[in-house]
Order: sequence, then C-alpha cells, then structure tokens
Amino acid sequence: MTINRFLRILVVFLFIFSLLWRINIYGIGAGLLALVIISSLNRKYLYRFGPLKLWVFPMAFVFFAPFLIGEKTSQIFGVGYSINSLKIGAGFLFRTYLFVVTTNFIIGELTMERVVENAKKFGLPGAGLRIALALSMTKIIQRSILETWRIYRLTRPSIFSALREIHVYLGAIARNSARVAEQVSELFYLRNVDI
Amino acid sequence: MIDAQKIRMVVFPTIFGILWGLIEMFVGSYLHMIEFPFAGAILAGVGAIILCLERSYTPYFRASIYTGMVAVIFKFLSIGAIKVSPAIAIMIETLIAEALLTALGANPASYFTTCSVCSLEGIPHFFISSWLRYGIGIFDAYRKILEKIGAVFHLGEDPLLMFIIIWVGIHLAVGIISGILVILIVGVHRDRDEER
Repeated sequence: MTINRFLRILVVFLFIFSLLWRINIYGIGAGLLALVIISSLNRKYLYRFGPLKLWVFPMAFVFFAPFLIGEKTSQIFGVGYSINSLKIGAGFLFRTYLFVVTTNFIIGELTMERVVENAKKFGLPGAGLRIALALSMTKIIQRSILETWRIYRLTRPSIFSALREIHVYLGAIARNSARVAEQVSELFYLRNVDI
Repeated sequence: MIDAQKIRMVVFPTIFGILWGLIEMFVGSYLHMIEFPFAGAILAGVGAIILCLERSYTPYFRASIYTGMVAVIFKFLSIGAIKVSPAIAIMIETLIAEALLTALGANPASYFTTCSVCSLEGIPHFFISSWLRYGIGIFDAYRKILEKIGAVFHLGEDPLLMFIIIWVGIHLAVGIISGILVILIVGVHRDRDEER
C-alpha cells in the first residue's frame, strides 16, 4: 500500500470519526486532521466549498442567533449575547465546510471503475454499481435542484406565490431527475452493462 | 424481468434516493437545527412524495426499498452528526410505502393513502424512541407538562386528549397535502407527456 493510498483511507476514517461525534474537541480535532491531510495531498479541494453567497445566510444566522437563543453570558452593543450559542453555530459551520470539502475529495479521488471492481471482489456487483452511480450523479442532481429553484423563483419573486405553486417546483425536480435516470438507463442498456 | 427493466430498477431508485437524501441532508438538517415545528412530519411528507413519484416510473416490487436505502446512506452522512433516529424513520416510512404501493398498485388513490399513512410514522416513532431513550417514566413527565400547559391555555377537562388530537391532526394534514401534491405532480407530468 502506497503512502498516498494510506492517507486517503485515513481521511475517510477521520471524516467518519468526526461525524460520529457531536460538536466537541474530538470531532473538531479529527476533522482538522482530515483537512490537513487533504491539503497535503491536493490543496485545491480546500477551496471547493461552493459559491460564497451560499455561505452568507448560514454565517449571518450563526452570528445573529445568539442574540435570541441560549443563556446570555456576554453583551454586544448593550444587547445580551450567548457565547455558547455562537460556539455551537461556529462548530456547525466548521462541520458543513468539512463535509463539503471531504465529500468533494472522496468523490474526486474515486473512479466509477474502481468502486465497481472492488465491490465485485467482495461479491456485491449490484451494490458497487449503485454506489458508483450515486457518487457520480449526486453533483448533477444537486446542481439541477438549485438551478431549477433559481428559474422557479425568477417567475415567482414573492415567497407566497413560490409556496402556493410548490407542486410545480417539486414536479420539475422530479421530472429532471427522471430524465437523468432515463438517459443513464439508456446508456447502460446500449453499453450492455452487467446488472 | 427483462434487462431494460432490471436496469431501470437499479438506476431510478438510486437517482430518486439521491434526491431524497439531498433534501434530507440539507433541508432536514436545517429544519432540525432551527427546531422548526413538525419538521419530522414535513420531511416524512416530502419523503412520501418522492417514494410515490419514483414508483410512478418503476412500478415494481422493492423499488421503494432501494430508494429508501440510498436516502438512508445520505442521512448517515448528514452534516449535523450521524443520526440513527431519522435513518430509522426513513426505513420505517420506506417499508410502509413499499407495502401500500405493492398492495394497492401505482395509482392516485394509493399515492394519497401512502402519503397520509407515511406522515403518521412520526407518532409511533416518537413513543418508541422516547421509551427506548428515557424509559417508561418519561411519559408521566410528558403528561404532567402537557396538563400544566393545558391549564394555562384553558384546553378543557382533558388537555392530553386535545393535544393528541391536534398532534395527530397536524401530521395527517401534512400527509393529505403531500398526497394532493403527488396527484397534482403526476397529473402535470401526464399532461406534458400527452402534449408531446
């Protein structure tokens, strides 16, 4: 086993270990170690956390929520502020960043062929195909959900009209997902993929 | 089952499972984080919608179970922390949907029934998980708290019954709305297909 392969496996274990703990020193420590290893293997993954505007709302929520919830242990501009709530929120942001970066790293480092081959070795050809398909399709479906939402909101700028016709949006994402599934099915059929 | 159907049975549940998993992972985590009221019922309703829509494309036995399994894997990778309880909820909901959709077939009436029943999953789940986590004594504590709240809000002689009716009613309302949404979505899809 090469050192790089060992480090990749270690990142996966640290990531799972970090998820197992709620936000505390062990979970954050394991997460930080996973990020250090990722940066040593390929630093570009650290910057793959999506557009900044997606982070603005959670960051604002984490900063302003302690004014409303939790025991007020401090004051900001003369208003009671909960440092403990801020710590919990900051931990949540860290977990989100760790999650996005590590899943991008795992998806980026795995190839469909490798997953299917390894699953076949363990006598699970169907499971391997499903896992490989899920890994390769997640980003496409995620992008489709967000893009459909943007287009949906363009024609329904008020939140009331957006909620009133939510079935149109749900129908659109279901239809887009079904279209993707149809295309993949056709491709598998034409390529004679062994199920 | 011919080859094309076998391929659809692998691909469609996986793709719809990803869709459900992503919604659970991001919307679910967020709703639970801000402690949105009846977040579990809303997520159960969304899950039931996805299961019914998936079944409208692959009306075969086990399709819902495969969809649920993919969603569970995504839930295990949830942002907050690994949470067993929501994963169990997804699997119970999946089994209910599989049983109902297999027994009643893929049609608007069965979609409506499935959504209504699935949205009620949170009720037995709450009692079982509370019992397992805290022991049988927790229900006495719940009863006392509810009686005190009932007295404050003047909810009559039997506030406990009133709370249960409201609680079940809201879950059922979410299920009915989900059922109507599925029928509307399937209808829109059918109309589009006929236009083509």
